[in-house]
Amino acid sequence: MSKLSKIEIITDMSKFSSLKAALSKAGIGGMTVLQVLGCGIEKGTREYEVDEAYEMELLPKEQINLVVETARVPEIIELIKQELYTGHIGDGKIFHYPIDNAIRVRTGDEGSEAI
Amino acid sequence: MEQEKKLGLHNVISVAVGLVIATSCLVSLGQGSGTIGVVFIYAMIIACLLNMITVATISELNALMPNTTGGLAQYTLAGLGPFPTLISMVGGYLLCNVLSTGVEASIFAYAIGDVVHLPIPNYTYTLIASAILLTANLKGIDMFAKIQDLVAYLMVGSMIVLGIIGALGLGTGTMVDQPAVMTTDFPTIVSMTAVAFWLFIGAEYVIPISKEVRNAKRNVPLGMFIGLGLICVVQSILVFGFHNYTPWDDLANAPAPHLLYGMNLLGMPGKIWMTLVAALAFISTQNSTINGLAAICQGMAKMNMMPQFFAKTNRNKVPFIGVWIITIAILIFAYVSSDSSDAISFFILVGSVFWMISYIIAHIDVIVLRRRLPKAPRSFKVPGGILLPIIGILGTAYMVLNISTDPAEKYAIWGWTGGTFLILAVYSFFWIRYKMRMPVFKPVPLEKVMAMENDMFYVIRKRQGMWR
Repeated sequence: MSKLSKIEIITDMSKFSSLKAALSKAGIGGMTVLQVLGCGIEKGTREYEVDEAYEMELLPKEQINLVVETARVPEIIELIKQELYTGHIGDGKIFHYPIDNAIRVRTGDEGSEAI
Repeated sequence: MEQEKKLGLHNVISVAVGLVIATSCLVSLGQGSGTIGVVFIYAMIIACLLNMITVATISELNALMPNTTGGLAQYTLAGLGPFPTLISMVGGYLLCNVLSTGVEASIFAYAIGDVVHLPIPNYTYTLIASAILLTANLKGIDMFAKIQDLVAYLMVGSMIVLGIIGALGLGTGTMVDQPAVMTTDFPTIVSMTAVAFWLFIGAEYVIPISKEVRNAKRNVPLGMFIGLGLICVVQSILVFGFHNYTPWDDLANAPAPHLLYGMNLLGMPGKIWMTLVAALAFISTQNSTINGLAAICQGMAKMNMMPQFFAKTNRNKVPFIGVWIITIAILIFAYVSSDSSDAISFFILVGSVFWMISYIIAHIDVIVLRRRLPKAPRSFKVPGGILLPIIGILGTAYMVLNISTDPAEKYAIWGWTGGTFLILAVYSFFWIRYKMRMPVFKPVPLEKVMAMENDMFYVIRKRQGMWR
């Protein structure tokens, strides 16, 4: 059974549709998307502001979760980086970590067969 | 909703070809081939390859900082800081473009005067064309946006047809018996690359349309490469045509060699054909220059790099002061170079040097940003590490050093360039120090440069008294 990894992307809502299209084209079988609130090291300060916000300001973001075969992680991450990159603050973050297993409830398939 | 991308590879090629080929290219082509014969094609190939490296460099910078309005201004601000940015943008781009469009205007006026024969000075034609374009631009009407593609096709198509007719000896005029090769001295041929460089300059103007191009990371650089290669082939065919129908000496000294060639090849119909095509090309070039440079000045004013009056718009949302200033500057250069082939070639070479310096700065930007942001995603990277940008710098510097085979002209060009850059250096230093209140030589972090795109960036700093 090939190993699986979870990729978690947090990015601006405006980039979702182009990212979804690129991931579909790359053969990603499924994703889970959550609307979330959050901020990064700039504490939600807008890029044109002079001073950094004192208190964290949470901005609306999109969290996209994917499960892929670990062997494909570098390729998928490169694709996500290229797709999300604009050079502006707020392009997003990508996290990835191993997961133990995936199970498709309907068929009982496990591992890469389930995704 | 994501905007639908409408442009494909062929559109990129036609835009690249249309923007690069201008009437002044034909002057350089005539001057170059008139001086050394058909071996000028070797110089053209070298210049074409160097421009392909520049195109690759600019594509990488665009991949790193996509969708910026100022282009090279922003790349250099992030790479080398505000001082080289102001110098390269004002000198390399604004002045050079105004200079070259002024030269185009004088070639246009000469060509019309040569065909129409009215008892008025040729300069009147430039004034009339400029007045029409000024009015259209102030009203916010881009009258040539729709026909620019057509003009490009017409220009290139005419060059191919006239080139093939001449190269195969099918013209109605008398064929000239002259040697094909005027020199076999390789250093002389290489020194003509500076003249040939002008034939390929400007492909980077494709970058602003990249937002509308399908699969832009592949199609934009590829389209520019194919466009440059196509120009090289088309102009090479014309050189063979020149050899058969135009004496080299006459070609080198003509203020409008394309008219001379048209006349020698097909008589008056050939001359009128070339005049019409060149007139369309000039009007579209001057229109893009007024429009584009006024927008660049507006963008730089937004970054507080130029006086704020450049950012003021009229009720049609046109940066009218920039439009006026650029039109007047074009008219001044057109007047200075009017009817004189020497002045035209001289100003073309001065413009080339300004432009080459901005290309050298672009290559340095790539190397600096590769070191500073090695892991930043780039949808396009110049292949071979920093080797090609280094070749680009050395090749372009070589052309600046050998800009002319005539030592007196070479020193005059350097003098003009040096003087202009010295004045710009003094202006830039004080502007950055006292108006922008920024460290003069310190690069601005990339994310800050990108943030400057937002109108609020200037407004907030002005309100807080940080920027004057």
